[in-house]
Amino acid sequence: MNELLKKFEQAVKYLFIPYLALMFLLMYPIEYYVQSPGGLSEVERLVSIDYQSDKKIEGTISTTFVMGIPKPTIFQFLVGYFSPYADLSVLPPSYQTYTSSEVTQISYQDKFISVNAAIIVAYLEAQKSDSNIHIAYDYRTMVFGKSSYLSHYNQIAFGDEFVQVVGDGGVVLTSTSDVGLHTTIGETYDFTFRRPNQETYTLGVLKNPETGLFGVTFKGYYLVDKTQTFPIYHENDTTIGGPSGGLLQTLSIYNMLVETDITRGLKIAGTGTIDYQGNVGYIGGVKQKIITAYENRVDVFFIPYLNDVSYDNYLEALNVCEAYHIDPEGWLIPVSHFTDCLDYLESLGDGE
Amino acid sequence: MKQWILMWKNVYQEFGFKAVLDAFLGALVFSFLVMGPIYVILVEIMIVLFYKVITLALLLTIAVMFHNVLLHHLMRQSLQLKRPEAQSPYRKVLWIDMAILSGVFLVVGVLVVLVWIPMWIV
Repeated sequence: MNELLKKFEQAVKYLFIPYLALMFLLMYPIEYYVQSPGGLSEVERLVSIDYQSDKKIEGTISTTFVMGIPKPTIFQFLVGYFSPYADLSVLPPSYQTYTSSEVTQISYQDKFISVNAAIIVAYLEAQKSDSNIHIAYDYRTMVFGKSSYLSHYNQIAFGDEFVQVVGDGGVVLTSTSDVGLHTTIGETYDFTFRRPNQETYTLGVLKNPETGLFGVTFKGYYLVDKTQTFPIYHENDTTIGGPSGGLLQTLSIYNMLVETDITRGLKIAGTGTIDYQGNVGYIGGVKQKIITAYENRVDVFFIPYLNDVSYDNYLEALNVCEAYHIDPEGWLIPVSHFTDCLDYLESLGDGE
Repeated sequence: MKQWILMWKNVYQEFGFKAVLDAFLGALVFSFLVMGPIYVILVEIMIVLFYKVITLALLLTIAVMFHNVLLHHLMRQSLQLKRPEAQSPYRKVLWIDMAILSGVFLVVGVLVVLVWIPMWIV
């Protein structure tokens, strides 16, 4: 090693300071947020169903994801600054409240709820044409947010299910909506939660005297009961979080259940949340999603059309297309309900 | 294979295990000093410009192959500086190692691009 050190002594001496400066640019995080185009993720890799095994699905149905980089390094910030497709902003409030790992956990919970909603909507729609298909689901409440003053902050995990709380006078409350009425500020109450592995635990949680709150946010959702559902479906682990893939997940699951292939050999992508009635909801990052779809040369891109001028993703998408000289004709399809996608794809068949 | 083992035996006999290990560690340190920032730069660009992930994964593969070339080049220089009059075929054996490893990295890189990345994006 000494021979090499002697040989490159001059270079090491002169490059030492610039080297440290370069490493500083590459390592030092700043309080910003960079959002840039991501990619497509085929829903079939996330959810698969053992049904209609004779059917051949010729096209693909994918959700669109974008890259969100909290606290980028100076170098990443500069790359984003010079990229025409990236957006730079100050760090969103969620990253000021939670660590990056907690924000990721929350986004996975969002996706979990979204996938369950997609399965319910798809099964109910497919049931209309195939009476063998049936689905059962229960209402659940999960831990979705935590405040810094929450007692036992580290023991109560995101995604844990709320089971019950023993309120004033020993009354057992199984609904979170009744908790405020039957508890007193400054007192501690026994909350019971269930972890994803079905293990239950009870902790005393203080109703904070300063805020008058327990410091835990709950979210209600419907969980599919796999034992009462046919055909059986399988979920794979995911590396992408968030609820914005709901619409395309619903479409893909529906396609796995029905007899005919609705894709018609097309590369279908899109974005939009889904609710239990099949309505499509608003999403963020439209610019990056349109660029992602365009870069990936999709044939059809479904986008929420909400008829609301201030919050309409379709209008936003048209503006993006105009700004980046992308022709939206024939592939950018506005939808308000899950069935709008089915109608559109069916109309393509009529035209052939 | 036998030839390759024989050549390494010759190198060890002439330089000694300690000197060969020292040359390897020196080359590893210096090559990492050069390539470390390049890896970080490529990974950071890959995160921000994820829609170009395939291109950047291929660039990363090329960077790994270049690292391999640099490591073997520095190891050869180190051995040469230790014993300029050396007769053992250390240049040839290092060249063979470099070519084989570069091939391995190329195959791994192609597998990452074609198999691992599409599987990972779920």
